[in-house]
Amino acid sequence: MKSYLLVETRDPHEMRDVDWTCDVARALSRKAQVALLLTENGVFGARQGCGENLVRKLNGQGVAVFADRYALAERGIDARDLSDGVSVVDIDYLADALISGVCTAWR
Amino acid sequence: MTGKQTITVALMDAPFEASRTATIMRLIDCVVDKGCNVNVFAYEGAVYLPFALQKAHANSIHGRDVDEEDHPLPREWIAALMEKARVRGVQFDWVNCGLCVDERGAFEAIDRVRRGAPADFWTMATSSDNTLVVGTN
Repeated sequence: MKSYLLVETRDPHEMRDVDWTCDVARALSRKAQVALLLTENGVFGARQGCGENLVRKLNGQGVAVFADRYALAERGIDARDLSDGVSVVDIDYLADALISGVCTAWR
Repeated sequence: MTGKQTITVALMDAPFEASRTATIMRLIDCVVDKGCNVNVFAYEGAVYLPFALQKAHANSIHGRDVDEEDHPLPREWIAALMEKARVRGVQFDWVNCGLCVDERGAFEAIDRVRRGAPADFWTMATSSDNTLVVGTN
């Protein structure tokens, strides 16, 4: 099965286009293995109180959601403050995906 | 995961403007650490990332001199990555788009930066195991 990784760098409260990224992830998940990596301002969408719906919809369709530990730390977001269903990873996750041949799209 | 895979990254953002610069340098550093070859094709404003005339500055507002401020310079990050790759025995090829260089007058690049053309990106991508394009917003 084809694997895709979407990397979202933008705050969903600042850029409505983040919804489009999630739509693409859900659409791809019908025929492929898909993960979403939130980094830079994208990690704001992973916080409790604002990201649950997004994460729930993605997880519900088999899309794994990850948040970049470095970006979280830069923005003062503790891992305990993330929505359920978000896993914290290091930049190795992205490197390993590329090395493994995962088709990766940067937003 | 280790190996001699080759990863190509295309960049477009100018230095000192976006978080992407730091994120991509972190990624490239990690890929080199994993023993992979790296190609970088710098397009548009990204040709200024290895610009040799970047200078650190003091911060008078906070009362710090140049050394205390320790202002980060992308050209130093790139040189350090190139050196790390050399020590690790992996290839690190950085190509600046020549048209973009000419448009911007960004002629003074650090050592080991090559001048090329978009066709080099095609060559890099087709000879790599994977390619990541990091566009501007």
